[in-house]
Amino acid sequence: MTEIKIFFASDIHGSEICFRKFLNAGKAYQADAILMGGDITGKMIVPMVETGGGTFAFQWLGTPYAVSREELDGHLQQIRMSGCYPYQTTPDEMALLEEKPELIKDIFRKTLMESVRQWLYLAEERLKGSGIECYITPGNDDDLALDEVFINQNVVCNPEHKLVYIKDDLEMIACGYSNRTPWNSPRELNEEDLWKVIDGMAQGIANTQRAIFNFHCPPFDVGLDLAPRLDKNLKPIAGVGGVDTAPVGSKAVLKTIQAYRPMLGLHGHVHESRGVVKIGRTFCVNPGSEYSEGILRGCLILIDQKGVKDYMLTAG
Amino acid sequence: MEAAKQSKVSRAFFVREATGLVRELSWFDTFLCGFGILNVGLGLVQAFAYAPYVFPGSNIALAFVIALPGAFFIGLLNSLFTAAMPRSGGDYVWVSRSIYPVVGFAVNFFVTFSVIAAAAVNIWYLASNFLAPAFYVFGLKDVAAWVATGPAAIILGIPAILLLILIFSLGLNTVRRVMLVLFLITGVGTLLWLLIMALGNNNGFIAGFNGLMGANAYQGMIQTAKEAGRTVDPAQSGRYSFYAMIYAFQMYSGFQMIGYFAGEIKRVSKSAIQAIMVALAAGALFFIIGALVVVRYFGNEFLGAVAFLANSAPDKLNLPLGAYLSSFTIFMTTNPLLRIIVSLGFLATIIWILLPQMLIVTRNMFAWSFDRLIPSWIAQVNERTHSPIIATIIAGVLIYVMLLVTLLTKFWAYLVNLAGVGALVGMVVAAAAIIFPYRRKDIFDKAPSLVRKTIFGVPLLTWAGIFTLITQGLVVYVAFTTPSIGGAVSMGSLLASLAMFIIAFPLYLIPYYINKKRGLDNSLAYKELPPE
Repeated sequence: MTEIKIFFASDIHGSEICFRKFLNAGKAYQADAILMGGDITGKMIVPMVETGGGTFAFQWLGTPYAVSREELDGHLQQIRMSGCYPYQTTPDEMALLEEKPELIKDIFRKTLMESVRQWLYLAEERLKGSGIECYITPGNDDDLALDEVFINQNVVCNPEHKLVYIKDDLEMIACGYSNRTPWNSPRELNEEDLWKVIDGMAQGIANTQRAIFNFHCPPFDVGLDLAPRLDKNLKPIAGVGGVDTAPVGSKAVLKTIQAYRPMLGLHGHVHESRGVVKIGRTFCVNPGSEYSEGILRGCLILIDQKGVKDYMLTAG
Repeated sequence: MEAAKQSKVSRAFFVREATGLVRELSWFDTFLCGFGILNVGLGLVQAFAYAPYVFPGSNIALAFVIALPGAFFIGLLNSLFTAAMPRSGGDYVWVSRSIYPVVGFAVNFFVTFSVIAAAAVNIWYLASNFLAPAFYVFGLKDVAAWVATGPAAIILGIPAILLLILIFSLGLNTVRRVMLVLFLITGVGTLLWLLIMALGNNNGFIAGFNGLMGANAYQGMIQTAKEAGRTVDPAQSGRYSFYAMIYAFQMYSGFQMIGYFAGEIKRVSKSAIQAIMVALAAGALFFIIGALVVVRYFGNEFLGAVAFLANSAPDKLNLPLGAYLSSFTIFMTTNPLLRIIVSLGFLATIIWILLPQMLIVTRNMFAWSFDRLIPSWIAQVNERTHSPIIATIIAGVLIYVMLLVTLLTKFWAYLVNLAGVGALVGMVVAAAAIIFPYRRKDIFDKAPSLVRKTIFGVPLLTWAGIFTLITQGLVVYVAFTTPSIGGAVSMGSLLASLAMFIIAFPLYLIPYYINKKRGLDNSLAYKELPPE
């Protein structure tokens, strides 16, 4: 192929509307491949408590609701679209969950796995036969159990810990793990361990000149990883003129990019640090995330024989 | 109510361990961010430098009151847009999404140009009206006299801009820390300045002024202005006070910048509106009381005379330093410590205001670069300093070029019409707010309940847009029907100002076609992707 156009987005955190937009991005932007860079699952479950007489009670965006079963569907849809998981439950189960909060972890796991399973059916339905390749990598916020949902998929490929070829041409390695965060998320490693993982993958690349490093965590302190600086209570430190920021990216990712000098670095993780930078010859991008507003932020990248020819940040 | 009672559930949601779940900024944290930008001391000084000249006999305190409802609707518009799109980053994206990307760019380009022009004027005044008094109170009277001259501003503009570039090259956190220090110095200086006036009286000022300038110099200033053609028609006082609100609007601006960091505000619909409205109310209180105190202390006739001579007959203005109120500290007190604190406070205030101005220019360059409208190397982050050095240097150079244009040509006279054209641009943002709920129903429907609130079936954001449109329309009318604003208003001067808005269209369209030819269609950058 003389030119390959790829679309990269990241951090949709369970937003069904963003995922649906992602699936349509290939066609809309005429991209040859669409890539999702991690953190695909949501952070929040909204309990919808059946209170008897076919009525469900819940709170959404600060407003309390009590709706009938017939009215429920519209609300379920709205909650899913925003990145939260509706969970139909009973007062008894709610009481049990209050008593044994450890059970919530299982509910989360089952709910988000089922949600992603449904998404993959949708992806198969929309992309099969389209010629558009689709790669979805889990991110640090995605439960480890999610990996099994991607097994034996025909249309969607989870490229993590593999060497894949986009359009049989561009070599890509992917890693959804990040360095340590204050939240103890499912896929985190110490910098040294993270370096061992990604360096091990990078060693398998035949031609780094045209390689893509799809690492969820951005490289440290290059402008793609600025997040609000937090105090010990995890509250952003703010003052006159705005919120203080700090680089939170990975030194291991930076070291690997500097050592192997790939063509392209695809990153996410830090929603507020949308941008593009060049590290040596490597073009690195973090498209940012605006998933909570249902807007899919992404980056369209045009690659020719010489490397990255052009790019465009999108908000669709 | 019944539904609300029935729907009580023990937990609204369950949250798992995931990144980004931070504690929310309180409305007070958010308020501090916005209120800091609303610069009370500088606002009063600037309002009294022009309004008494353009609108002789106007009541500036009343003008601040009259401007308040309009500022409220502008604040409401900003709050609601911020709540609907907290991570979008301001009017560029709001207009792009609501109307068309090219219109969004034109608005943003003009805003950037206005900020560059304002920063250039601020650097000019930094020398003449803020640095000169500081030198004076430290006993360097000859240096102060030289600093107050135009050529000094050209020379001193270079280190001032180099200092700005240096601060920005050290990163945004350094910028914020410098802002905090300057804010504290400004705050102490401004409060002390207001206190000196509140505890003093007009006779005290007259004595201080005459003491340094010679017997009857105070009355002489008023007389000189009269002889130079200053007249006040008491019958026009009400009308002029109404018109003077356009200056009050300029002083009220800044609190809207809260939208730039709204991504960090968790309950944004509540916090942003609370913070913006409280910042506006606190600012209004300071401005109104401050204006009353200033008039009581300096005397309305004297303030009018100084503004008149400074703007229309500067050769007749016999003052050792500039004509801004900040230069009058030397007449207000003989206490050297008070003089130093107030003068340093004013000096800090003008340097302080340059920082957010520089920030807006570089931030917008980033946005244009990401949208492929300017070469990407401009916004490249330097690997060694981790800051966008090139964009910062370009911003500094543009401000300096504008300083030269301002001081060496008559260009600025035309550009004063920027106030009017700026309001025209504000009308475009208002139009975006009016149509947003209907044109971008997809985003509007997902917005917090406050944004979706309706009055008589019309969304609150649309109402805010309508009233902002009326307010900005009024500013446009006053700006283009008042001869003193922008010199002699002619079709040429109007077009010179409008050109800065219009030029944005080819600046957007040329790279658009180039990029399209290369295989990337810029019009897709903000286009909504179909979810189905």
